[in-house]
Amino acid sequence: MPGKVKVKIIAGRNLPVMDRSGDTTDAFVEVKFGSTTFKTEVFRKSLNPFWNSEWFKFEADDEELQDEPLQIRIMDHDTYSAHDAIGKVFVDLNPLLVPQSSISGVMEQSSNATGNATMLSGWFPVFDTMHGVRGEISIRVKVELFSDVSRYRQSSCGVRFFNSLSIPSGYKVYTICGFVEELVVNDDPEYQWIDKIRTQRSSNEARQTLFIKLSGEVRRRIGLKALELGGNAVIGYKQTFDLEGESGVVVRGIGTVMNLNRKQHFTDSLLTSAHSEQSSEKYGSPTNLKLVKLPVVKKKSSESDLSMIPKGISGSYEAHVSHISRQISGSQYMYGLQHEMPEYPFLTLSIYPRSFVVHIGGIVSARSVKLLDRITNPDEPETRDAWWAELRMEIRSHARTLGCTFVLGYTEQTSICDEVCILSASGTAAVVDFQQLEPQEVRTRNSSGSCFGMTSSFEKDKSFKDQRVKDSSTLPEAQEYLPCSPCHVPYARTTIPCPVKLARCNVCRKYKVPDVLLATIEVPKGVSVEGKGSLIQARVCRSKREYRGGGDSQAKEVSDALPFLEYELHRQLLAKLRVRGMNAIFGLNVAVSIGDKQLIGVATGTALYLSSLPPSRPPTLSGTGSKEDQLKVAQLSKKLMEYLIESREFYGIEDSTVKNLQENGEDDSDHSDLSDDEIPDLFIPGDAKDTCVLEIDDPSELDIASILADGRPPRTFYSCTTEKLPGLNWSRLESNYLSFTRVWQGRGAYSSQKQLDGCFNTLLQGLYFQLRKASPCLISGLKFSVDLPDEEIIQVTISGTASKLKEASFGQEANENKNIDGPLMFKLDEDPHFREKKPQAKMESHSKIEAAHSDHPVIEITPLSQVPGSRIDKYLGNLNFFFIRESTSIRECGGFSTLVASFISEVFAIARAHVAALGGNAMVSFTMSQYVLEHNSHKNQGQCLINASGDAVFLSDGSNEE
Amino acid sequence: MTELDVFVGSTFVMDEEIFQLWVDGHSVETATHILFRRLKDFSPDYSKEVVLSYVLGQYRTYEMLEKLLWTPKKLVTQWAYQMTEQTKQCLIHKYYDLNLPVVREILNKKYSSRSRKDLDEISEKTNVNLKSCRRQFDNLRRIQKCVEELPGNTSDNIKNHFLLSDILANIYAAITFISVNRLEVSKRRLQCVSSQVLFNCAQGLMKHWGAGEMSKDASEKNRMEILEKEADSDIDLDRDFLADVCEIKLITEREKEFRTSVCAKVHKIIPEKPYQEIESSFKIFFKSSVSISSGLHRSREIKSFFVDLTEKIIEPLKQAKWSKKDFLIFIETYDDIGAHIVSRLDSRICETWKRYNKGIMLCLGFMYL
Repeated sequence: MPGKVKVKIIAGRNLPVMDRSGDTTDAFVEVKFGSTTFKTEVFRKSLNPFWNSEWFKFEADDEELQDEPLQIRIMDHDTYSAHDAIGKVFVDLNPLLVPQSSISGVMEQSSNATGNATMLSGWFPVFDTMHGVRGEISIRVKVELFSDVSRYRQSSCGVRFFNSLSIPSGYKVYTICGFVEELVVNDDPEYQWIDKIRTQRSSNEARQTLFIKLSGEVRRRIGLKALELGGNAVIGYKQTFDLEGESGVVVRGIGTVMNLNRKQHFTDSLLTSAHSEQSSEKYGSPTNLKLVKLPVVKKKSSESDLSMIPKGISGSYEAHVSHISRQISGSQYMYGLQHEMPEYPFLTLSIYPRSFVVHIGGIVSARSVKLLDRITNPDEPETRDAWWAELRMEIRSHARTLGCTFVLGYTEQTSICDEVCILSASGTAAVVDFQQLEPQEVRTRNSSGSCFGMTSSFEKDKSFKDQRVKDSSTLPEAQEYLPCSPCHVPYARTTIPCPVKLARCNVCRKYKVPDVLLATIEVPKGVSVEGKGSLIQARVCRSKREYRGGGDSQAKEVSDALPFLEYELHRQLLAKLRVRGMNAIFGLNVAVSIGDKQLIGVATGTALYLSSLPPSRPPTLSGTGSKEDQLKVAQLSKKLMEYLIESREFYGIEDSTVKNLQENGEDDSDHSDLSDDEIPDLFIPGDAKDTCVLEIDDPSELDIASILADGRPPRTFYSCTTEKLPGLNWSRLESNYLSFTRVWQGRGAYSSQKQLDGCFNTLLQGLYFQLRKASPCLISGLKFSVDLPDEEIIQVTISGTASKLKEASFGQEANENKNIDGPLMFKLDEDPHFREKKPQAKMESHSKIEAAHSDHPVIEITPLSQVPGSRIDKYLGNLNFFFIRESTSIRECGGFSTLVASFISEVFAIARAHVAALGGNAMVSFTMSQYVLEHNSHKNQGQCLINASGDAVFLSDGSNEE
Repeated sequence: MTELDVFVGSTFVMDEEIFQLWVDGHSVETATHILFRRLKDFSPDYSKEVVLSYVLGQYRTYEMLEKLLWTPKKLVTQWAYQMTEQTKQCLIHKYYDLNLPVVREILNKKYSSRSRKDLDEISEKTNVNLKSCRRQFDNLRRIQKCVEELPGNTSDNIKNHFLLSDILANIYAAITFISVNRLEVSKRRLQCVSSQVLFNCAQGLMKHWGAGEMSKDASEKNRMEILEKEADSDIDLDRDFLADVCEIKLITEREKEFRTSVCAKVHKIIPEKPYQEIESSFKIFFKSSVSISSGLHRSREIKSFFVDLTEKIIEPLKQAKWSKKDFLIFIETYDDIGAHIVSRLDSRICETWKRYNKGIMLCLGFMYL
């Protein structure tokens, strides 16, 4: 019995009127945890009751604490009939299960003798699935975990979870322990017989509760695996619900296990000494540990000072924790010896420390089409496990083919339509250097033998690679890390099955680079980018036969169609890349959605120009046919060229074709002795295999039109899928303007390319229009998802965040860019529109600063792992919500759009309330997925399911940028 | 065809232009048209479809916010729409803003659902959108319902409950006062009196004749009595005072004294010619002011208070060609001299007269044009 939960219900406010005759409510509260329930007194005739209850105490074991949410239900007392439900509050206790000391890094906070008492307190919106938010309730929750030394072996309490796709700021990685995944299957109550006789409210609540519990269970199990691997945190954690309909629900989680510690001023050697001093004293008292703090340290680590932000962390605590982590990493080392390689060498993060990514092989993805059958035994989710295992193995082998040992930015997605399900996995194959995770001093020591688990396995793997890819022996393992290194290919041209054009790197002029680089991750730090990045998107729609129950044939059709769809996406993407004059795409996500009648594939990424890659050549058109056709081709070519020139100017890319052709000559003679291969035949135009030749059979073909129709954002906007815009310094962002979710459903035909493009372009324009007052601004972290919920309906969800750019620094930025990234042509302040809007923008930001929210604190929400203009001081825990909202009076309450909009706002509200209750002021790495948005206008009915999650943090002013 | 189109930001950013259009009751189409036309010149990239989707979204948000705006305190204590303090104030201010011609029309209507239906007439007459008329009507009704029963200063009550600015709260208090006491203001005779003048008069009456107010020169004993009555609202007229007020007719005995003293003093300031007029019509003024007081204990007479003032005092004096300037000098003098004369009478009558005279002179001062 390692935990005690104490709950106190203070008061309520703005409750709804439940007794119409008296315009009042007789409210009381039921507090439930596990199977225990407590009730407060009834507070009669008030919409603002004040209960000030006693502390309700629950005793629970770890597993319960992790799986079960605390359920608080507000009811209206009714003497004669059943009490009416007002609404509920779910409280996830997980953020309280992490010892406070390891959250904040400040020892005195955990000075409580029993150890880890932490508290959560605040006003929470009362949510009802049928009515939305109905008032607020003030509650206080405390969790007391008993100090139990063996507790780490029993449960996964204490393992921290981060949605963040980068290493949480202020933390240092000791070991990367590997990839974890877990899935849990269950029946979906919605599809059980009992649902036919239950009220909608109780059915929704049952479903909501179940989903929350399942999510807790997945997280706990992942935590257990993390502990097995010797980690203390799961980064890049992503949880997904697959609503398989009749066959139930699958909750999946993936993440990267790491061993993290707060950054501090101790070098490793000192830690060791600290360790030995303290080793006799397990969980020593804080005062003792403080003695360890040695003043010598600062000098030594001055170099790393630049990248580490000391945040008043008491060093003593660090010694304490690293003491534990040392033990763990010791066992991890053992583990590393037993297994040559982790089962799946995947990392789910997308932002890595400088120099960590040695080479990028390219994007790897795998898809499979499965037929869903009823989950017969929920306790053995083997089928689903096996499906994913297949995909992961495929990804792994793809990566190896590319001569890469690791897959970064790994994600998994599903799309379900009736019985047919498409599973997709993708990531970026890469060669990485784990030593780069260590501070400089430690790294040198590492070479003499003392290395951590993964480092050793990496070396093992390298030998494997050496055998396989002979050419890789020339890779600069032992050499100095070049900033252009990530662009160099880790493979030899001859060893990979698909044809790739290689050229010599334009920066170091030594190693080979591909002509185009695609990756799911962010641009590695230090890689030189010319100009600015831009949003790039390819969309393809393929119609298929309507689903008529024949699952097998349906699945086969889908599976046959997939390669064509992907090929088409790729072709479109590359063509669009060329007309922008760019040569790489990062933050790429390819999503395929399946519907009754069609398959839609959307690939979204951030296109950019990498200085080391050969310049992209303008696309050429080839057409055969009549003279008239030739003429049209010529016209189109001209338009394409115009577009290209505009694009280059727009994104600030020099027409480097010219530059490179000039330089190429000297380049050859200079380094001819170094090249171990002939100069690739890259500059021969009209190469038959060249992807940038657009073949036109029929000049009226809309292909090119669609490429050209891709509108650029207005001049005052930048947009990208990545967290940071390549080519734009993070410090130029002033503040978070707002994060947004846009959900759009259209009925009718969106099957032709033109319609599909039109639809997406309009949506994008709409986005720019919405945010026009924030300009000049950057829209980053853009995510698109497409669903086909009905044969006639297409649903597009766009989310992202808009950050304001500092106006003053335009000139300065131009210079800065010149130094780093080459010439910049794009100057915002010359834009007349921009000037016109300037005063407005200024006013807006001014008001933001002045904002003094009288009651609730301001809670920022962002899908990024950082907030511009702020610095993360503390991580307060990972939050995950699942909500259902239903209405049977859609028309009366303003239509389906109103229902969805208010529901999304309410989810924001609840997330904010939880963050505030934990003492935070922002939620980072926020994601929100709309699973079901169903509307039946005949029945005047609608239902929505939303899953949201993020990391609660405490921000303070100042930038986090290294 | 768009089935669903929703844009939700983590922070609520108010578009003042669109909000104003919404508050003014313009349709989505009109608003789209206005915005589109305005933006066309410097950002031609945006299609009408995009602008429409934006306006629809804004309108939807405002409709959702409207429920909160009905009880602005909830707007402050909610989590769903994160916004700056400034934005909140701006929302509330614009939502509760009044259109004076419309208010003037609504003033003598009961806040019943029937008169709500008749708002289209007002809309036609004032050329203000029906939706806007309804909003103003509902705001007035809501505020009255809330503060009617609350003790104390009504203007403060409105400020506390609806978080309105001083100016707006005072106007709402005045309107509520007129409405609660059913003061007749829509008679043809009063058409020339502007809403603002009526509000000023109402505020004056609340101040001087209201039940919750304590008159400054009240005696100690009175003060105690008034303290007991503090639970009253200034929205209600002080019934005791109104019952007493008929007693001031006793001063008719002293008409001659009034006339000589007042006229003597006025004569020193005003030139000869207008003075003649004033002297000759002094009787009308004196008698009418006393006769109005005698009926005030009947609510019927209170209703027609403004009408009576116009009919019995303002119009005859205007016919007698009193200029506004002279009139103001006259009533000031009358108040001064009168106070001196009545001080020789019974102290209760004296206080009552003073209180009565303050109210009535204030109204006359505002209303005399």
